[in-house]
Amino acid sequence: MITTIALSEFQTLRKQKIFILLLMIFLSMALFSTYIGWSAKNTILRIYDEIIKEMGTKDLNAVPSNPFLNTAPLSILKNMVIYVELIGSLLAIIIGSNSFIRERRAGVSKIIFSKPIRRIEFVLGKMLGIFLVLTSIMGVTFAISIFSVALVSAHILPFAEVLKLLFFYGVSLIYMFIFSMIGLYFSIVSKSESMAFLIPIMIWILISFVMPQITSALDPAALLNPTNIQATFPQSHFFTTVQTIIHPFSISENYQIIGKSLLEGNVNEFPMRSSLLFLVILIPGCLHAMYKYNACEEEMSE
Amino acid sequence: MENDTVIIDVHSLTEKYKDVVALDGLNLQVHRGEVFGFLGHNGAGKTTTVNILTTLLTPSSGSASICGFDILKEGQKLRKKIGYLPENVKFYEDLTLFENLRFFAKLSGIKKPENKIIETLEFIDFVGFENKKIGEFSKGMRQRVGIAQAILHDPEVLFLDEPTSGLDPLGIKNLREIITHLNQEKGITIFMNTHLLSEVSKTCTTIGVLNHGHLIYKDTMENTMKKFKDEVSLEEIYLDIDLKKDECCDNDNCFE
Repeated sequence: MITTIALSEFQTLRKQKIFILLLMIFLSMALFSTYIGWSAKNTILRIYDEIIKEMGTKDLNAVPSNPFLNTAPLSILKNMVIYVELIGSLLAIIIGSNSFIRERRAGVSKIIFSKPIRRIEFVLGKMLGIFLVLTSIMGVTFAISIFSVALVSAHILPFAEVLKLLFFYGVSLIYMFIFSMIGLYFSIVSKSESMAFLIPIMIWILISFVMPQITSALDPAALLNPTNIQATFPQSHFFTTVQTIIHPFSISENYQIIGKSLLEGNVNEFPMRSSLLFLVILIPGCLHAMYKYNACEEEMSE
Repeated sequence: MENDTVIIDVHSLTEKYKDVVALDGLNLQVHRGEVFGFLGHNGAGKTTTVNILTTLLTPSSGSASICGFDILKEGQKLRKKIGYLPENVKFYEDLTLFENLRFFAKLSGIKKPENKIIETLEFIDFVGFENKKIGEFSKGMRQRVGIAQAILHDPEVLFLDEPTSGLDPLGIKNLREIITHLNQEKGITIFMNTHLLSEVSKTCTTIGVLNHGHLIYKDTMENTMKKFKDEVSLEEIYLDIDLKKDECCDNDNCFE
């Protein structure tokens, strides 16, 4: 039963225009991220080569080291962190929201629940279907990244780097799954279709833009102020307290930390606490969604 | 087709929505093989009864069983034995007839439903539309699809909620034939909610009349016609029952 629902979810999504559009944008961005990363790296290397040449003509001995000498091969993909954080999460919300809105729009709930299926199985089937869709998207994105990196750098990634990339997309999958569950949750509890879309979008804005602004983004903004180099940036107890409280819950920032540590090669600094936070948010959210759907009998009696 | 086995057994079934009592201690027995017409005016509690019997709704109190399975404790087993056609049946409009039926067949526990779908469509004389999207179907065609999804898994009891509502005369005639075939050829017990009395007289073997959550009358069609032999039509019988209910005692089945 669960697999029937999951496969149906998987098959019907491919007919939805907004999903296809966002998916195309996301996959194109995955392709472009490699090009952008490679292009940026080449520009810096070209400037470096020109400086070296210039220094050679002037007989200078203190040659600066190559800025990309110790960088990880995957670092050219670092833009993917931003794309997953912004476009990927939006795509996931659309997938999650649509799953129950589709049933509501079609008005087939009565027929479905007159069949020998439990409501909990139905929700689990939906969740599994969404997970399969996201896994497929991440699988394609992973393949695009591998091939595009091989194409632009003219060599195949070493196995250890492939594993790191796989791990990065695994984390990205969980990150997107959280957003799809937010979409799914509100498609269950919201009375209207518009609210089922609007609330997850507001949460997306809060997580992706507002929370990073009130946590770590405050410090660099203050430090960038060029008026007085000697001045210390305006640190106050209020900001420190707010940062301390909010930062652990800012899942987009925690995702950035994990993503960058994987793609830029600092695996030793892998933030285990941030990763666990993902699951702490995800599991109770899923359980509550199941409970809410199990309890919503009123819809059947209409 | 009928026999003495009680297939739907309802005891003191009550449903309250806040202050409104939709069903008030309903007692009802339907025998295997019957075509039971459940009559009543709008808001009498017919749909609520079907929603409870199909386990879509939990009653406030009382008990009921279908094919020996309790509606509260054995919902999943019970749902394998029943088929259900809701009023204003709806489907996934973007899917074809075949895709819709395959989905519902799998939910009914049929692992390889392809042959069963063809067999069912042949039974209801609806072959040739398999690859058409449901969105293109007329009301009558949708009702047929509704019947098809309800009988795919060979249920023992079929619940039909206002099946002829919104259909043209030809659609009503076709549906009536299907219901009769299902009862006579497949032996399916039919529980039909309706307020179209012409339907009841042509299709049903037994009728029950529900009024404000109370069953005020239940008997076979044959006995009903004998009891009310002075009335020229079922409409008059129904009005007679409905008018006399106030003169009766408060007990259920005051005409029995």
